Amino acid sequence: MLQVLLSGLAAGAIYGLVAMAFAVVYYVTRVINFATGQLLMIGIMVAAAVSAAGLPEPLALAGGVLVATLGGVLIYGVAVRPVLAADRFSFAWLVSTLGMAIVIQSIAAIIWGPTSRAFPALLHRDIMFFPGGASLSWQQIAAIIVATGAAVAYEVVRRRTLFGKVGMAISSDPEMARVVGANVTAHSVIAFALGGLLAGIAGMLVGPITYANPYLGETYGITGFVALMIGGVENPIAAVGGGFVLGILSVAANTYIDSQASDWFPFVIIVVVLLVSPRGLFASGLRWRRSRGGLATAGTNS
Amino acid sequence: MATITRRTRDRWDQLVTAVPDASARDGRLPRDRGRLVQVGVVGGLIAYLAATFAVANGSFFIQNLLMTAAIFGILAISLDLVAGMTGLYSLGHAGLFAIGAYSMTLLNDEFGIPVLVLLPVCFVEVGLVGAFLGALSLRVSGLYFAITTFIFTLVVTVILVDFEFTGGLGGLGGPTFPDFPAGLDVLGDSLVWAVAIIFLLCVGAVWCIRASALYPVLLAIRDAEPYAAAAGVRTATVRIAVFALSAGMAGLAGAAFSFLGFISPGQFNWTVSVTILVMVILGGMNTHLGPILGAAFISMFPILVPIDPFVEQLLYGAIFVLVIVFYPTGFVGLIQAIWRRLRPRRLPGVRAAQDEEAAIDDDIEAVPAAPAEAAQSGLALECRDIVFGYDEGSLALAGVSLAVRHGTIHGLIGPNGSGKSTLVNIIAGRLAPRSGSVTVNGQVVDGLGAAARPSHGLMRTFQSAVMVREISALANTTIGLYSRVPRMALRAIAWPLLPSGRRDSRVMNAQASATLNAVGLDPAWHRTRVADVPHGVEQLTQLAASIVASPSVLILDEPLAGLAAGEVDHVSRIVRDLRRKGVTVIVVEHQTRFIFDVCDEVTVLAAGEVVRSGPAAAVRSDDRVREVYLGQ
Amino acid sequence: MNRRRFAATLAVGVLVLAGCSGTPSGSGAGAGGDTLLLGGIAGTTGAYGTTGQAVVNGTQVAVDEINAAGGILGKQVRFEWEDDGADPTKSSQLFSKYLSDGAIAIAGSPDTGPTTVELSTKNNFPIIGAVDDCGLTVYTEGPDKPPAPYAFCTSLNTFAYGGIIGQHALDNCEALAVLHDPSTYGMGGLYGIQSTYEATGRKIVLDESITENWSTGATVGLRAEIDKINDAGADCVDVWLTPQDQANFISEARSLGATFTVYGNDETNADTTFSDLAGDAADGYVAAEITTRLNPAQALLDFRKTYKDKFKVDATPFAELSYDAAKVLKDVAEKAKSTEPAKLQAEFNKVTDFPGLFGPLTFTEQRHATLDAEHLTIVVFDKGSKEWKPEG
Repeated sequence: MLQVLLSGLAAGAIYGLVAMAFAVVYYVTRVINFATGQLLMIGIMVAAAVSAAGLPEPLALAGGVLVATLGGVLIYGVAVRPVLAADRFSFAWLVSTLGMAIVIQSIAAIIWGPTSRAFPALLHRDIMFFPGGASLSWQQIAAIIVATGAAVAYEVVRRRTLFGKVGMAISSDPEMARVVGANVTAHSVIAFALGGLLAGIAGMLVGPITYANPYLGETYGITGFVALMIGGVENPIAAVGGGFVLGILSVAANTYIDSQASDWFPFVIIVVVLLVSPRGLFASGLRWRRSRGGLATAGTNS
Repeated sequence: MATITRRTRDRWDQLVTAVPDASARDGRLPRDRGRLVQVGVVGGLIAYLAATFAVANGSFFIQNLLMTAAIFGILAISLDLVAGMTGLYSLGHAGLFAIGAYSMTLLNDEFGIPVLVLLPVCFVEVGLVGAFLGALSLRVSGLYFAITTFIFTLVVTVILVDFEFTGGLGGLGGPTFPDFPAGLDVLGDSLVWAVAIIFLLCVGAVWCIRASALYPVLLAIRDAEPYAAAAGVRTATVRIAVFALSAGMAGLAGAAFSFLGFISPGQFNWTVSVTILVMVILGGMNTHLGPILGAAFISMFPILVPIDPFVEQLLYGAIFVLVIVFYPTGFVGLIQAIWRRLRPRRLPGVRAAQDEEAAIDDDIEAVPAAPAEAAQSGLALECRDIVFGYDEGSLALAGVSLAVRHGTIHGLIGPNGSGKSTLVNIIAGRLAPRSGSVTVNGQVVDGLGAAARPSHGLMRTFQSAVMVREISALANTTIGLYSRVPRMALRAIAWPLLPSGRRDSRVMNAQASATLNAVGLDPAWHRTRVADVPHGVEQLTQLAASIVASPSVLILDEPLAGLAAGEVDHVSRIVRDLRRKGVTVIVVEHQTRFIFDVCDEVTVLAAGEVVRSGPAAAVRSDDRVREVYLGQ
Repeated sequence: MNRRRFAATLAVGVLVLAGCSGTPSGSGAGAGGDTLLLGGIAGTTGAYGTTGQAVVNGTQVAVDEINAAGGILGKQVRFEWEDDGADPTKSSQLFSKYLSDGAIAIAGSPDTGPTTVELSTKNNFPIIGAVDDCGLTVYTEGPDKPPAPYAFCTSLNTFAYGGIIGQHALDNCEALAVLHDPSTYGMGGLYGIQSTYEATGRKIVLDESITENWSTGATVGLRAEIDKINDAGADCVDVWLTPQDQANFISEARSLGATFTVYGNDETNADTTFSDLAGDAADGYVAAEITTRLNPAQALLDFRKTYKDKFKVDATPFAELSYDAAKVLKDVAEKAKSTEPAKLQAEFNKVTDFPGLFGPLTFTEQRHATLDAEHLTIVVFDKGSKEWKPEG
């Protein structure tokens, strides 16, 4: 039981970080960056390459995260900014970010080949045992701490600093925010950089398990995206919550039903969640509380 | 309900017979051009069949390549129907595609049902699944709709992988399409013909809808839902129906796909959903050819480009980025750009620098008369003891009663928050009161939604005009006729092929054009996109749309917002003219000068209660009214 | 902006043209009408792309040799291949392409085997070489039923590997657990293990099907599986998953202190992916190897040298077995004196003791996979020498 919870949280931390990478970008720019998984991948590949060249592990990790962050900025500059400048409401970014995902993946495959490469084991072989026989590697514990910490830090910055408040303003109405002097471009760049940073960090945390492969991006892109759906896209912190929920559901399904159940069981839950609360799990409580008062009326808007 | 339907048809028939000369003046193609279009269509059809014949007798590879492209073309155009026209970005199309393919395979395999019987079965079956998915759009829209349908595809894929009867990951061999009988075998491969015909039917249906009078209505459902509902469109039903049609097409595509040989879950997973959307956007959303071009490119590129696979994928991704970054409207945008470069564009015949004042023709022509039934005596509109609150606490309307006599102009005024707009929304059916009753032309309309009220002769405008910006003022005005045209939504699927459809388009355009003239809009503006017109013209267009169907009761919600002084006088004249024609007008306005100038009777609301109601002069001199509203 | 857009139009145009006018993959003896076409379908991209590349390369070496020796029936052979990206839709498009281009056979596909098998049966058209890893992909109804009539698989055989691993586990384990992927590949391995167990009346204690994604290299968290294996009381486990998943599994299991013996599958030791990733944890890992590969004959050594010179990488069994397939095709076509599919099929079914790189190859009506359990030897990884060594 405890093991299910712990393993679920550990897996969910990675999904949550990727989901948060999606959500941070979406929050400011209303764009879903479909190359997020590929940013995670490129971080892993670079770290593996630096480490394989014999350089120290901290340098490898820093290099991986840095490249993922820069990759985020590059995606904004090349594939998102021009598209949004042409029409802020079109879905053209779907094609351009997917195109970037393919480009990044192909470049990585051309440079490093399609075969998996070794990734530094880091803390993954050091196991911490809990009472009752449950255990986690320190790497997994680090993932849980980092995901939680990232969510909390983000929320503090968003609510308590001017920078965060301007971000909120841009998120609700970029045109108006621009009029009152907000630098929308700077905020968008930072959002994409943050997205890359989070994806890169997730990569460093999961690398010892997945090893380094150019096609990893798709796998983690999709799980992160599903976590995002569960949590709801409106709020990055909810995305992390969605990741934890997905992780625990997958591990629980695997443990108590069978290993293939981890493919479908979370989706059954998601369908139920979305039928009850179409805006995601963590938006539902708020919405329900808000709407309870208005149930007596048939009206939806004024 | 049946009586209303019959009445609608009778009234429309009257209008059709009444305006043949008007149709000759405007909206009809010159005879020789009409002939040219017909020749073009027939020629295109012959060319298409000839090409099909050539392919059906051609190489297996070309057949397979083109059939795959055509099947993805059907998927893309079916997705464009919902995404481009109604704004529902579905990521469920791979799931629908899968259901079509597996239904065809399993039903044929297990029960031996002939494939020709199964084709319509798949269409209907997947259409019903689509109706269910479309119904989700009532709860969620925009991104959440995409997410919900995305999950649908995931669930379908998981079922395909994890259950025995679907063959699991290994997949299933598809059924064989029956060959032509001996006499017809010169036609070549029967499957090619089947796919070609399905493709033609699906593309034809979507193009017909695009050419139909329903097209502006669909765009209105997408961009200006309240506006569409106020014109009598059951937006939810139409949206679900369009989604069901789109799903049915995806199901047909799946059924056709199963004949290509082999189906397995990997061919229908969520990435396929995204790929279909990419086809639509990359090709050009909401265009005739865009989705087909996108589908052709994406399904053929990896096969036809024989270079190093890694470089090929790099190129593939780079083309996505380059095309969409420089041509956000996709391949169609790129083709247009090249076309413009090759052939410098002539300036359109619209006068270039029209200023707003000049746009509005002071000489008001006859506005449409109210229907005969309005001429009866008694009350045009009556509200009795309307109670409404947005939440459990305070009441927005605390027992409001309102009586409006036939053929009068009735003003509704009150300070901000007094409940004017709420009352209008209740009369128009957008909001349901907690208690109280609304009667229009002597008939109780409680329980009818906004879309059902126009058929009772009630039309309305909105405070700030929200219309479809990408189509012309004329097309926007025709939306107002929705409730007058019988079975428009059903006929849309073959609209330009039906003589009645072509005739109704002519009549609608003529009627809309006449009404735009009637509200004084210079004909030069009629064909201009609403996105490019000044605010005054937009307001007048909205007014025209609300009177084009000759309502007996018209509600104008702040018709003067943002208008210049000259335009205010213009609106006054229009409103008076409507009264002369027997239309009952209810005006919500802040400009008291206008209200007391124009209205016969005025009702003053404050804090959800009627302060005073009566003849304009009496209300104006009432002390309490001066106190609460006029601030004197 | 206008100029930039025009530049972009040009760029897109040039890219498309560059793509379309690129040199066709593979090489050939010119596109004259007097050549024979051999098609190739393999996943050369994706996390598993090295296998597809090996299949393509091995076939290419064979075709070069055939052409140097005068071709087939006096005609030069043109080998054209394409990446199917492990996508069945693309695989079926490619199949129809080679079919209508008049190919005499298609080599592959190692990634979309079920698709090419189904299409070969439907179109009565021979496919050869690495048709997935034979097993259930070729014997769609099971090993006792007739195989797909037009699939002639010379590749590693999941039935054979499952069989020998099952036999070894029967002799050495108290209780065996199996983790496998749910595709025909994983099910084939399971089938091989299960049939040896059933022959002795014993049962495997745990059979877990794990969805993997061969094209993206997904790795699920395998911790829960380790617990299940322990709970089931198994002292041995066969991990019939991708090499990277096997590496992850053994590392995880060893760091958690699990002591069970771990078996691999036919891919485990096919190249160094597994041993590179697993490192020291791979010590004692059990797999199977083609016996003659351990003591290579001169022909095999020559092939490996040619291969290494040409492609700068070491040959894998996939390259070697695909080479054999093309050589058998030449032999069969010359015996049939025809390249008609039906005649080729009839002659394929009569191949007896064809001298392959690993020894004699035989096909019959019922036997469409050349490799059997008796051709294999159990090997164990030794971390000291970093080599797979025969047991004992």
